[in-house]
Amino acid sequence: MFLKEADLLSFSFKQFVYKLKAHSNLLYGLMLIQIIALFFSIGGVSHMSSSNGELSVSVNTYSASLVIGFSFIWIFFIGILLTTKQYKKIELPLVTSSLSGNLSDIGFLMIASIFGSITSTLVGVLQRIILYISFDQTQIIFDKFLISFYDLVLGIVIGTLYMILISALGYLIGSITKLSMAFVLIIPAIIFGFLRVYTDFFQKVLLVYTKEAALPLFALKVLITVIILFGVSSLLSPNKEVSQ
Amino acid sequence: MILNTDSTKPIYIQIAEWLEVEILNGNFKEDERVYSQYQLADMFTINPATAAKGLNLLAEEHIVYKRRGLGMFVSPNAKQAILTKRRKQILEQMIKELVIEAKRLDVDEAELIEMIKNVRKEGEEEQL
Amino acid sequence: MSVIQCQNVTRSYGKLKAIDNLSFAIEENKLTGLIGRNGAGKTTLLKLLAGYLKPTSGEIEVFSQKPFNNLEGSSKTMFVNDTMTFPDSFTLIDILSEVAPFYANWNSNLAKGLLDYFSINPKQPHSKLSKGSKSTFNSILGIASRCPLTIFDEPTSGMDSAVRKDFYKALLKDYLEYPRSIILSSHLINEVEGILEDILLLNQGVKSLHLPVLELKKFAIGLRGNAQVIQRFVEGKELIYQEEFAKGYLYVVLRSELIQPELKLVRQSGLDVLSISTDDLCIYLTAKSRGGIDYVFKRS
Repeated sequence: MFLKEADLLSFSFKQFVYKLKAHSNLLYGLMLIQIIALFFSIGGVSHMSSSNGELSVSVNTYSASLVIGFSFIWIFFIGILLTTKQYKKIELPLVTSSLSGNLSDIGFLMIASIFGSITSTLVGVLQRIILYISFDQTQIIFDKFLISFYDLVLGIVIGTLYMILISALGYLIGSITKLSMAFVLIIPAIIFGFLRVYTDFFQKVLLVYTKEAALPLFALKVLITVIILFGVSSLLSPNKEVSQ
Repeated sequence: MILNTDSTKPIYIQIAEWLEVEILNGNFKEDERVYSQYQLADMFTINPATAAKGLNLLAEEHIVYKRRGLGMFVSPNAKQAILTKRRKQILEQMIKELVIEAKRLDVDEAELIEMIKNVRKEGEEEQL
Repeated sequence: MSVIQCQNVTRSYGKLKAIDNLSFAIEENKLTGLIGRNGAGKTTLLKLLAGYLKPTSGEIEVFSQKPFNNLEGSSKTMFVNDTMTFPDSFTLIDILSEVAPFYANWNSNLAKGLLDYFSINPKQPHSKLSKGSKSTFNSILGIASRCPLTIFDEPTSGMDSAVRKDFYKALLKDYLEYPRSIILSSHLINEVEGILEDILLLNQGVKSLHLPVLELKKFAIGLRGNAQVIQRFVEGKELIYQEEFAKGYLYVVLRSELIQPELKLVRQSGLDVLSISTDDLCIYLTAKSRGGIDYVFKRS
């Protein structure tokens, strides 16, 4: 039994490395998306101006949240993408089982999440540098403009956790739609339906993840959710035959 | 050599016959090791089991003999055995067909013998 | 030792039974040909063995385990077929080095040597290859993987005849050097029979026969001549094939064992006794209607 588990881990890891090399273009795609998001947000996310005749005040607010938002959308679609036939097919010439395929996908999503979080944080820093250079420094209100190294790392860790969570959600949705294409229509219908009917409940659920101040507790919540999401995804696939 | 796969003659017999010709031509001497089934398989692109059957056929006819773990070797008097066998099998078969065909064409025995003599004579004249 | 054991295996697609109550065993280190017409169920059977599909009923064991979704089975099996997909971000030479860590017996020098010999540009992605080059490349993977069970599904489709010959040679040479269980599916038996040890003939999902090639040559015999004389000999015997090739003249094919004792008598009655090529035998055995294409023309 020990040997078999070692085999599973070893082949899953080999597959993970294979996929990392194979899908490296997806990671470059993310960087492109982030740069596009950066250009959008350089114009400022909100603009406010007031004037009393003598004095006129104009405030531009800048934020890297667009970059992070784009990265979240990206990892969600990567989660779905990995479950598609097109992407699953590359496992076939390798030594594989459905479990090793799932494990290697999960590995890839984790690395993609870390990568996505680091790059979006760095793009945030880049944005500040651009602003710093292009404006007269006296015009900048230094509210959260300078970030400490600790905050930077914290931001990366939290960003990673969110991205893993979102990727796991995407992966589950992808896995469900693989059971039947009907779910492509059913899932959005259910989500939007429930959102309308149980708005309060959803808000509470969302708060569980968004309003957690303590990092370890937040990490634990994400971890448990992710394990459940990936676990359900893995349980959905073992009886699927290979369709070519 | 290219084997004739379209021929109705099984490949293993073609292999055996090819080895016989090699022995007749003196490419293998008495008590010399002949090709192994794997060498033959490689040379002719055939399954080793087919090659083995060709070798076994020769062993059954005592043209080669087996030395455990060493392979197949040419028997003493292998040449003679092949000649005798071929005379008996091939020539007899051909004569049988000749006789049947002669009968169909109403060629009687004396005529047939005369024809054979003529062909032999022509052959000798050509050689001179 | 049996590498493959199939017991009453059936695989249906809806109402159609692609594989119908099939039982057979394949011994270790044999080179077996899976022969059958198009649609005979060859690919379905191979996918069942490779663990891509589950049987609808019956038991399949490969290396004493059910192959479906089995990692250990997958590590011992290589399934070469024309739907193999590789990431576009890999060139051919990348694929060779990336696939290598998965297979314990992988022969890297052989893979590169063959790629070079067949002069396929190693710097292109797999999806850009022509059909013939794709078949060649996939077959190279099959040979180089040296898996204990290597399955080739119609490996030569699209290859030109020179490449086909070289492929069979390469396969056999490597098999001699490194014996393993190989299954080769093809609808062209005369092309592969030389290198095969056993033949498994499939007809509409049913096993027609499973024999050593050497016995296949002797399996059936043909009689040709006067219809009435032939009728006298084959009365009540099961015929594999019959054809009226001229008025009053018949050509029949039947199992050798059925006529062996009377063969001398048959010859004396002036009938031609013919041996049947493996190719023809397979065609006769898998013919949809006894009598062949002529039958269609005679009816219309």
